[in-house]
Amino acid sequence: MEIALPKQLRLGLASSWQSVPGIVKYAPLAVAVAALPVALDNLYLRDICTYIGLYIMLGMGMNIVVGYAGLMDLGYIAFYGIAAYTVAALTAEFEIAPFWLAFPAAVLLAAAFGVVLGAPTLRLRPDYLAMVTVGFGEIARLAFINLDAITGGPPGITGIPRPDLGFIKITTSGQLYWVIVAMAILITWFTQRLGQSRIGRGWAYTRDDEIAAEAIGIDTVRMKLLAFALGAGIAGIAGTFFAVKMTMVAPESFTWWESLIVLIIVVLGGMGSIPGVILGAVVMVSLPEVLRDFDDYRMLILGLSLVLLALFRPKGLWPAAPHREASLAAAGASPFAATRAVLKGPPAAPADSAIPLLEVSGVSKRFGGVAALADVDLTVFPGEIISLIGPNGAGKTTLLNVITGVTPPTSGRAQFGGRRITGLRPNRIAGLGIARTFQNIRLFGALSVLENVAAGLHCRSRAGTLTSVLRTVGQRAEEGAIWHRSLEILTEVGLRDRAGQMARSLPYGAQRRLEIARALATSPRLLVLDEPAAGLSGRERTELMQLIQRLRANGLAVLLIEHDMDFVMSISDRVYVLNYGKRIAAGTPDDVQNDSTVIEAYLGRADDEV
Amino acid sequence: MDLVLQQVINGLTMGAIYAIVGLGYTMVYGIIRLINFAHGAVFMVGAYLGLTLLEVLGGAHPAIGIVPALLIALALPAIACAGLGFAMDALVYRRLRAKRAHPLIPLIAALGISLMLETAAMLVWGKEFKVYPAILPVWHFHFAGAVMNSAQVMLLVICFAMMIGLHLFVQHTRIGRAMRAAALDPNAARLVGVNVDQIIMLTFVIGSALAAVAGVLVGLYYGSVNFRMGYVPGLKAFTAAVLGGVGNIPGAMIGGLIIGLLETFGAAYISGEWKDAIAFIILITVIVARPTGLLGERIAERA
Amino acid sequence: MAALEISGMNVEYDGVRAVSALSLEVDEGEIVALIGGNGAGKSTTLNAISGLIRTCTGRIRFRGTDITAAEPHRIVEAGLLQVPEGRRVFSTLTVEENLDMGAFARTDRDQIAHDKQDIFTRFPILSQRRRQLAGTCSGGEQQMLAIGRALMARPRLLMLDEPSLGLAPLIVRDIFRTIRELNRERGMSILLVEQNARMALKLANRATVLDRGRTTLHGSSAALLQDPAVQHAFLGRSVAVPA
Repeated sequence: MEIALPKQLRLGLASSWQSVPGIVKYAPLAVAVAALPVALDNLYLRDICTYIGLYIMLGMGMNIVVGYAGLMDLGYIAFYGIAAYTVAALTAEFEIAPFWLAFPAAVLLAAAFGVVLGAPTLRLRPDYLAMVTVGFGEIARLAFINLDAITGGPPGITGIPRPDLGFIKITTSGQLYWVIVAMAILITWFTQRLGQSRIGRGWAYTRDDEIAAEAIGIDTVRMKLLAFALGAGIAGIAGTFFAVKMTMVAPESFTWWESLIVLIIVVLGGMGSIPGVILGAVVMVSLPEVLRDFDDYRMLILGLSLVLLALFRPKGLWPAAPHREASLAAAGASPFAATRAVLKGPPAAPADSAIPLLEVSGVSKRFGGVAALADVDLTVFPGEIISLIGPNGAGKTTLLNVITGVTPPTSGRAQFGGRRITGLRPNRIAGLGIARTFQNIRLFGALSVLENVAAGLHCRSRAGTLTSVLRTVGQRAEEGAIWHRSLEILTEVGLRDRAGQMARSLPYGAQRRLEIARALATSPRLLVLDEPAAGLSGRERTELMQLIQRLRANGLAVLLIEHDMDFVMSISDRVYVLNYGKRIAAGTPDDVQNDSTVIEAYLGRADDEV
Repeated sequence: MDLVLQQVINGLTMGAIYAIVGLGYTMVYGIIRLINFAHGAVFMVGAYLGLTLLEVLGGAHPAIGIVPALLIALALPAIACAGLGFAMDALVYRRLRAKRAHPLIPLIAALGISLMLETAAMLVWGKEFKVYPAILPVWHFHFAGAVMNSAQVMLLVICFAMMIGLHLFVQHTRIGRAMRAAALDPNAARLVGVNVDQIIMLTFVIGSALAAVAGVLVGLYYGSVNFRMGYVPGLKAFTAAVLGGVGNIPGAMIGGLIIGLLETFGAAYISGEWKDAIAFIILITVIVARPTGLLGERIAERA
Repeated sequence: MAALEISGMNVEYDGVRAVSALSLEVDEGEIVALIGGNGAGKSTTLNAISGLIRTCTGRIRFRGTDITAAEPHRIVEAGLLQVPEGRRVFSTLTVEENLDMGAFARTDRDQIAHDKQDIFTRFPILSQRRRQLAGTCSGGEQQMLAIGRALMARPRLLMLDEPSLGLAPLIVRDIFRTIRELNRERGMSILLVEQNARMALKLANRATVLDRGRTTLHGSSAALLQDPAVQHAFLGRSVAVPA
């Protein structure tokens, strides 16, 4: 007789399984697999597994750079080489440091070079970045060949001693093998933990839409540099153990083909996917062994697979599972329903509502010879709803871009809460309390509704790399608070039941509401909306109006651009009208509707003769 | 003084090659914003095809004069590689354009094509360096203390002729105008009746043909070819395009010559071993500090 | 006979239904205006007709031929030309080269030269600037160039997308006069998309008002000029537009 487990029990077991840390679940498996060659006393197999271990490390590091942060690095192997040579130089060539000093030195040096490479290249398009990294990789290789005083030139450096830590000596290949296996597991665990944390999400937002990420307060520069540094550092760890295993280093181990192999591991497996990278490493190392007779064809097949992959399955063989389910589960299961103020808020506002919240004075913006804005003034007081209208090309979005820091003005300034904001980066301005939505909705389409809202909380939370990986108590409380608050906001805008859906799949009106929800999550004092009603049905417009009025009742000020005059006139406290970059009218809706200059601007002059 | 002149000549020689290959990169990027990573491999395939043709013609048909043999060895690889360029666009790049894929995806496809071409060449012609038939008469031209050999003369003449030819084509013919228009504003070009897809195809075809000719000329000049020969020159040619301002045709020509000169002078007066690094340093510097290049539009940064 | 017939057109763009169930006709020799505020779907409509946006259903017939799924260059060859919003001249080509591009789809050499001369006669300022790069010309000159470029293709029907955009009133008047002349002298059918409703209505025979992708009003322009609903569509208020 079959006994079916009652549903409660099954769900309970399932979520218990979820909550067991990954490392406990999978490390024993990894260790068992790693033990096979030892048990079988097969040196050849053990050697293969050593290489798999090294490539898993490299793959994880590259995964952070390419898969998580979306930065194309084709010169990645340079960091591997820099670390390997550092260890070689310090312990063998000059014999000035023991392993336990050389190791961290190598890793730090590699990470430093990661920052050196990353800092000037942050704003580049992905393909240009790829070319720059190729150049960097080539320069590194030439350095390995030519700086022979340090690197020993083309023959390289030999005689690298095995690690001697005083109380532990790792002398045999067998011992080294287990160290490498342990490092590979550790780095995998590190990467996995990081990917699922606030940092991992920050990378996902940056990768998906950098402009939107900046607009909600994420410091994309910092995120990218972090990715470069971590990726390079991990390559450095792998490089150290490579040097120690081979006991020698030479320039020919660090060619562009090697970078390509690591790239293929990550891309073939699936960018951002941990199991994918492991699979990729296994395939790339074992393929030449398996296809030994067809060695020459190996690269041909790989090339073909890349092309086929790009055409038909860009996500890879084992694509990263979308976070959606995991985050939803985390949100639901979180025992930390944060009522405490775990999350930060924006800087305090002046209490006096007679002082303008936002003050724009004399702002002009020229693009080449064209004046997009000419000497525009605008103020928003706390708790007001202000609309900005004007014919096509009048400069309305440009003005929003100046206010939110996307474009610097040619002259003039803007102040928020008494504080000068012109010249600040968009993410700083968002942090100070101005949140915006975009004319063509800029959601993080591939992420879930819940994750989109949580993005707004990124700038109000603070878990860093270490706390995220170690999952400290504080970090877990913060994560719980993030999910809890996100669900709250979703309920406010009526999207609670769609929390797990992919943002891109939402109907248009719901997408607009989600973008507003994401902006609200940053706890703004001023909400800037660019054509929020565009594309909405009549009923959705009414709902949007009600939402905006509710927000105002809660103390939020709103500045919006719109073309729907019914909408504008019924909801606004005051209206500003722009035409040809100049402010041509300002006042109550009635004032503006009756203003002849405004009527002319929109409809044309009465005496227009053709 | 004569040494300087010699360096100038040598620099212009390689520079002309970088310019010609760089044209392929710049034309394609100018119109579809794709770095055709496989372009260097096309250059290499052209060189090998020239090699085979010259071996066949030189060995089996000594009756054919040198000039016809050379013409065939330049023209057939050009046609074949033009077909290769056509195939790359038709089979792969055009599909990816239609899907509006993330910019990394076409780059990966390009890497894959490059890998395939390199391995195919290795399988067909072998891993070792292969020697180009020495069919050119061994003439030396001496003037002002400098020396040029016949291969060098031929290379410079043909490359400059191609550059001038392309420039005239793009500036003064109907199709050339259409190419410029499509690069400036594809939709506006469609609205005047230009079949932009065909123009893109043509860009690949021309670029690949030019690269093939450059490959054969390099084979004749250096005397040997190898399946890895496309990678580094390809990068340098890309640097030429970037230096000149990507999308700008005269820019790529000037960029190539500058890089050739800087490289040669750098190798002579600073250090021979770091010669290759000069181009890479220029690449990184230009992209990071002055993405516009010397003559072109700002394209390297995100919007 | 109808030069251009659109029935039941729906256009999806960027995931939104930008135009719904649009039906429109332009008879030979007519000027029809399509007016509406921003985001109404006017440009999307023209781009769908020109074949630049392919995600559209419904039917579009030009001079009896179905062009719904046709490629952009074929539509140009058939004689349906668009002067796009914002002029979109080829900035690093000269004025003369821009005009030459306009005749790209044609093969009759002498006629092309003859037509070019006509354009220079009609727009003397273009003749003055013929060797200048188009990007260095003023807005009004660029608009004239864009129209001239389209005329070089000998269109049977000309569509203009917001020709008044960003131009000073006097220049706008000149442009509209030119459009009227083209219609009167050559009987050219015209579909005019405009935000400047008053001028458009004064110029056109008939008009359709587009609001959020849907037709809200249509009829003779004389009637629409008097219709308070027109002003309401633009300014959210019901007041008759003084004639």
